[in-house]
Amino acid sequence: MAAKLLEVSGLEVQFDTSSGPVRAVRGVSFDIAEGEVLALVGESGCGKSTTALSILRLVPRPGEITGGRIVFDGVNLLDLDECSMTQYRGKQISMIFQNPLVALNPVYRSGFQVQEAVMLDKVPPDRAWRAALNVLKQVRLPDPEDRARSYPHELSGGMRQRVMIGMMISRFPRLLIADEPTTALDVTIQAQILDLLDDLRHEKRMSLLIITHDLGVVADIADRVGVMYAGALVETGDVTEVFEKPLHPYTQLLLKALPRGPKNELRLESIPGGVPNLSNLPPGCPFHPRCQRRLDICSKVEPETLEIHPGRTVRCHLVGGESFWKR
Amino acid sequence: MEALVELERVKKHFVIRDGILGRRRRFVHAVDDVSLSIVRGETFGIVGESGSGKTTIARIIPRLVNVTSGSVKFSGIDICRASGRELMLARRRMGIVFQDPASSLNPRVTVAASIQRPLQLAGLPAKEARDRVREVAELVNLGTEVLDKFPHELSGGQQQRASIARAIVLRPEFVILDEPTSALDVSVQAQVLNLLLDLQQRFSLTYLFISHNLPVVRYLCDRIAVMYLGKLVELASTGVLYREPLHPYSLALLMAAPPPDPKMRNRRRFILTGDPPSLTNPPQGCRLHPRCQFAVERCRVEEPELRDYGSGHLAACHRIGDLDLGFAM
Amino acid sequence: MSRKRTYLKAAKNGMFITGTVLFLTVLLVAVFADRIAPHKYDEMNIEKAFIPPGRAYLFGTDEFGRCLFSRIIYGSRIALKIGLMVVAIQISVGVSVGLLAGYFGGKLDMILSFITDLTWAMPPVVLSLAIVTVLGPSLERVVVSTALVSWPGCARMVRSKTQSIKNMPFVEAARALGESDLSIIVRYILPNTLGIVIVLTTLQLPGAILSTTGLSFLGLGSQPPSPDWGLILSEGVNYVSKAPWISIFPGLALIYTAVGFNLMGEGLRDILDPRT
Repeated sequence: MAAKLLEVSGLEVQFDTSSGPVRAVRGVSFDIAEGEVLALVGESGCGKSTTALSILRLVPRPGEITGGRIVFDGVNLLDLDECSMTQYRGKQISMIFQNPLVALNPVYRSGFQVQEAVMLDKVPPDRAWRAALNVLKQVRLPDPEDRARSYPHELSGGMRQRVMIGMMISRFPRLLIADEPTTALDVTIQAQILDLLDDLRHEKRMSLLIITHDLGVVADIADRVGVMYAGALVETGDVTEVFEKPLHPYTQLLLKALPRGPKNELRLESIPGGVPNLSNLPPGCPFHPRCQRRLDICSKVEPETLEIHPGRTVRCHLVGGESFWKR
Repeated sequence: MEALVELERVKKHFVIRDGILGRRRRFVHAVDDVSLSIVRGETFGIVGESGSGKTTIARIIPRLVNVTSGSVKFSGIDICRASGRELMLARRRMGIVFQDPASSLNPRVTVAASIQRPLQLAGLPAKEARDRVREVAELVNLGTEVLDKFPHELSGGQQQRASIARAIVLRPEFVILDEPTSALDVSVQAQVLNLLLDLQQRFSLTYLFISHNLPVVRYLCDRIAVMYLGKLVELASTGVLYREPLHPYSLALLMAAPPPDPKMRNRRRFILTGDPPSLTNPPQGCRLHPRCQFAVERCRVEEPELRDYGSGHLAACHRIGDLDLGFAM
Repeated sequence: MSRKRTYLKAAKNGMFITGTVLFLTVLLVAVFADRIAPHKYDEMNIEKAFIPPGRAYLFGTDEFGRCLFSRIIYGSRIALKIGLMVVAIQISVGVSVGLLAGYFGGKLDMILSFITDLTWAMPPVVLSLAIVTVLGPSLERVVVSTALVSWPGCARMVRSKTQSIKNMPFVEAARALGESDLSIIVRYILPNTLGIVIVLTTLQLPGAILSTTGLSFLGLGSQPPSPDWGLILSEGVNYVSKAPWISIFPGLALIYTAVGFNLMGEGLRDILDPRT
């Protein structure tokens, strides 16, 4: 097994709001090996984006990391001062965002923005420009020489996302975090970008952390997956295992809630109720009000994370308890 | 097979003015020569990417936008030429649900008031209207305690249920669903899709379902029209389209969304290169040709016509017959 | 139900309550000025000129020995009159122009926006000068002329807000339901522009009172011995080192009214917005 590049353990993020503190991330632990693709999947407000931002220590105010460790290549990022942290951002770990339309600065040419990123490593401008063109070629931007001289508004959404990705990989980061990289794009462009991310990861031996709500994206590109619900990781594991034998009722229902065929074949399983509000979580397991298989204990005690085997964890009373082994 | 909605050679051009004092006029061909008919009782899907014109069609039918040319008939009524009163009566027989649930309801009034308004406009006495609101709220599984709240106090799923309630409160025959689930979470999306199916069965509704989410369209629709840059490129029943798509764009669209199954990772892929070109300056010939790997000289100069390839399977491509796209589906 | 909730919100909104209390005191003072004021506003007594604030004269006296306290009390009537007139004209003209231009767009928008910009460019003093030269000086004419050039800001804000609201799905849904244009404007768009209108107006009110002051100072508006706060203030400037109270008290009265109006406006905006 490859060495662990990133190890997050017991991450806690809290937002201080006018109505009291809200725990947006509750004891999240996961790791990513060198060259591995981990996907964090979940619905809106499950804390997946906040988790991603925590790794770069970019959680916006009034949010604050209140506990846990984020160890990147042997260094706990939470112990670093702000100045040393900047050495990691962009250089070791970089991040692409959901909306490429606003992630680029509209008043600078796209090539210049990539060049600037390269120049952060004290590369002279002419060499940085060549590097920028090279990177734009790698992200398969059509006519990179011309496009580099275009302003972001002159590029289409797909091209902008490519420039964005180019900018983020221009300094050869070892971990790329992609927060909903395809959500804002048209479907045929989504396929292109997913393809590109997959290629880049093989070419560059980059580790990839993908944040998404789309189980299709997870199935397509991830090696391992973590399912988040209400700020906690409820299930992690190898992607085939999780998709084939999901252990947590939430994962099971989520997979059954996706339409996969014509209506007369099978009716969609729907999860009753809505995503819970983080400032007002139910006691016990946060999923229990929507869970059809809940036990008495579920509304009283929040389950612990249980490791089934290395890399496979689940957080549910149904698993590990007597009822589970009897089945 | 009675057609409820008929679009004939519908064109919609928007004018963009630029240059000094708006002298230079450019046309955006949002919908370009589209003919289709929606049969009573079916769910008709329109798929396409942004700029395909699918949303414009949703707005043309209730005449929220006027067509540039062509005709739109709803249950025999010529919508484009209808008088104010005729149009109003026709609109009462249609419902419409929009993509963004958060801005679909007037933020200044309660949910109940929003749902009740159509009844009021139709002249129903207040008491009856209130009862009907309760009834319809129950139909869409909206708790009565939600009715007295304001839209921002509701979750996305509840907001969308309220929008659906408003759309069906006048018991329309026809409901236009413009990406009704794309802003919702997966678990909530399933609830809304099931709700739509139940309502359709119960009230024998005809749906026009517009989406870019292919699995959802496949789940819900009986027939699917594929649009690209304002053109209808293929139309077929769902099963046929999935089994044997004729147009390369349809194939690309069908294969674009990765299936939620890691075992399908090594499936054959068909990915279009490049981006959709600008609508103000669409390519000559077949509009897909700059992105199509099968394009030949003819595609660059001659615009393909929509032809019937048997039992209502329409497609517009020069290469049909040379190609076999029905692989891997 | 919803009315009850509005009252409840009003009762809990500190800004609104404070503002209302301040505003109500001004209103009451204005209504009962004759009873409250110890003297008439133009009652002169040259022997008692420049008496500092004290027991005999609460706010002191001016150069003619007039009781400042009484003058300020009577002046509240003028201040309220100016304020309400300006607000009424500004809202009625600004909001209707903004709504019509924003909602209908096209040619109407072009014409209305042109008029708006033209008015915006008009210096208020010049307009007032023109009006007063033709019709003779009077406070009402000055107020009307000030209001007639103060609405473009409101119109522009309402226009841009209207343009963004009219394309929202809930407005489209309303059109699909068969609501008339008038009904859409009144029921769907106007309520959603209310917030900015209220805030804008209450922010401009003190400015309106002050700008009429400037015109009064030039001899175009209120004429002595009127107890117009602006007039007292400007007259007091001549004696600011000898009798600073003459200019301080009308200034304080102006601030009191402005703050009251502002707080009430901000509070009202929050109360009327169901999202808060």
